[in-house]
Amino acid sequence: MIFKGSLKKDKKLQARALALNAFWGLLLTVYVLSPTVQKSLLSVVFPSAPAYVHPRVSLAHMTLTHLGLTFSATALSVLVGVAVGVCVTRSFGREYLPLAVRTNALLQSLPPSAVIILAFPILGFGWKPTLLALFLYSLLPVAANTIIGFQSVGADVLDAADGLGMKESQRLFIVEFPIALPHIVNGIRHAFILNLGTAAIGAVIGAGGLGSIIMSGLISNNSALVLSGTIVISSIALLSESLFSLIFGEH
Amino acid sequence: MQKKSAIIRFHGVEVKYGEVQALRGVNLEIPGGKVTVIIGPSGCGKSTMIRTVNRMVEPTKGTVEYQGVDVKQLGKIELRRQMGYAIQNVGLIPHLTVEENIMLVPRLLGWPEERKKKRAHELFELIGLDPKEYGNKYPSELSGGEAQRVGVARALGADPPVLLFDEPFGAVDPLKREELQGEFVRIQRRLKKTVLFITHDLSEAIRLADYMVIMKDGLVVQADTPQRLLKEPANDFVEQFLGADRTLQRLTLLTADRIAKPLRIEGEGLVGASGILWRPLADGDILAVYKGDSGEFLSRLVQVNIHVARPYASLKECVSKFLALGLPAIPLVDDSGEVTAEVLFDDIQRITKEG
Repeated sequence: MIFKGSLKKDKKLQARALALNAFWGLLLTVYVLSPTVQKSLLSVVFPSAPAYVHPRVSLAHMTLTHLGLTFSATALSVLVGVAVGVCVTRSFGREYLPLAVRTNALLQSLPPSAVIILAFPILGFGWKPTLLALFLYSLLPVAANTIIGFQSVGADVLDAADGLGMKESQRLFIVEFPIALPHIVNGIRHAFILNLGTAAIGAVIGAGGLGSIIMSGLISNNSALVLSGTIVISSIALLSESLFSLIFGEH
Repeated sequence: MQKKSAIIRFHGVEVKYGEVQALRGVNLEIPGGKVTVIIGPSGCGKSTMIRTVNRMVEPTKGTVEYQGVDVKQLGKIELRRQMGYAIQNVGLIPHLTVEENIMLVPRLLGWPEERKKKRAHELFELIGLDPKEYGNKYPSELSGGEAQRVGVARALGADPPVLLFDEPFGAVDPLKREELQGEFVRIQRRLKKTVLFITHDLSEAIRLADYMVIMKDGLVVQADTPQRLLKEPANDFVEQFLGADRTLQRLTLLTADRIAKPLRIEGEGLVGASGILWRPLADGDILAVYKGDSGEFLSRLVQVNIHVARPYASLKECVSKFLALGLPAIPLVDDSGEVTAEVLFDDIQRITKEG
């Protein structure tokens, strides 16, 4: 829970977790920035690999592109998903709630690779179709969790808020948002992790990102490159999971 | 006939939810500064009726007037802020502290911080909770009875002239409920608000009501003072509803302080008309010293939690205390724990015979 001073509890434990995260973050940064470190680490597992780094693009550049894609897609999902979630739980938008839930489920059932392929005649090569696919794909967790969050507000609480003379906007910000927030944060966490993994397929149409090194490794039959990309993606995923838990509490 | 003191008036109010007709033409005048209790079987439309007052429900037909103005002419938000609102399930906002919950309406009205602090203190005192202990607690840390007190305090927050209470003590056990009713009587004697109070508990209704409205199937069956209702039920339904033990119900109309007799100090104790010497003990209990049949002195321990009357206890409660103690009188102990008077069983008997 975000509320009720849970942050004050177990301060020592939290400080230790934070220190651990910082340590792993530092190790990851060193790995990403230094080709020498990459080589020496990967050569332990694959001593006879023909290459340990991508021929044209640095790992640091790919990581930045990957994070850029992930963050922007998540930000878009949050903007649209929360807005949709709020609207369909208001009195004026309640009739669209079933529609929103169904559309959302439909979007989730589209494979991102299909979206990329369908979108690329219109949006062309590069990051645009990838961003679209990630956005559509991660809309579900954000919107669905926002809706669940607002639906979790007790009917008595709403009745009392109305009866005491709250305006619709006051009810939203004073009463409903804080109650829905833990659910919304969960949705955002889910969306972010989902996007982090899915962004790799953007490499197929030249979006860059860590998918490039994985793809390049697959094509040249060089497992060292595949491992290098995977190390970075999964480390970021683990790190951000644990940072989310640290800031917002366990789900 | 229009009563001058009426502050809320219902004129032919009908409410339809789809096919269901919740109210079928209610005509009623609610007296100002009094407690009007609305009672009836579930589904009789009592909740719907008070919800038309603050426009939580809009009548399909007819009008509701507040101070002579159709409530439709008044803004919903302003109207609701003039009417305290408390419901059975309380509906405290879970992420706000008790103090923030109580100060919700003042916050909406934009009161300055100092005024809110002062008001919060008054309200904590009024509902008998320690602001230091409870102010920063969250609703999930309260017991059922405490939560309902806080709900009432929140309704009183900005000192509204009208209170709409929909079974505000409905979710606590009968013992706690009687205690809360006593508190309510005490508070209302001080504040003299116009209260619309819904209940399905008859003894609660009779105990609290200055004016009582009996409803059935979306209509008002009878509206009058509880005394008149108990004496002259309008029809079989009312008579059945009030039950066969109307004599006992009449005892819930009076509080102990109304019939208590004063005591005079004698030695280490106090003596009154009953001849029993009430001697207060250090731990708050009382020793009753009285003469037995053959003139010898006997004594009995009066436990403060079981045997004594509080000023706002109903006579019905007193009767059970008489039975528990087995003496012809029980002592009256005020809020500060002092023995101030005694209640005589003879007086209660006299009242039941008068009825």
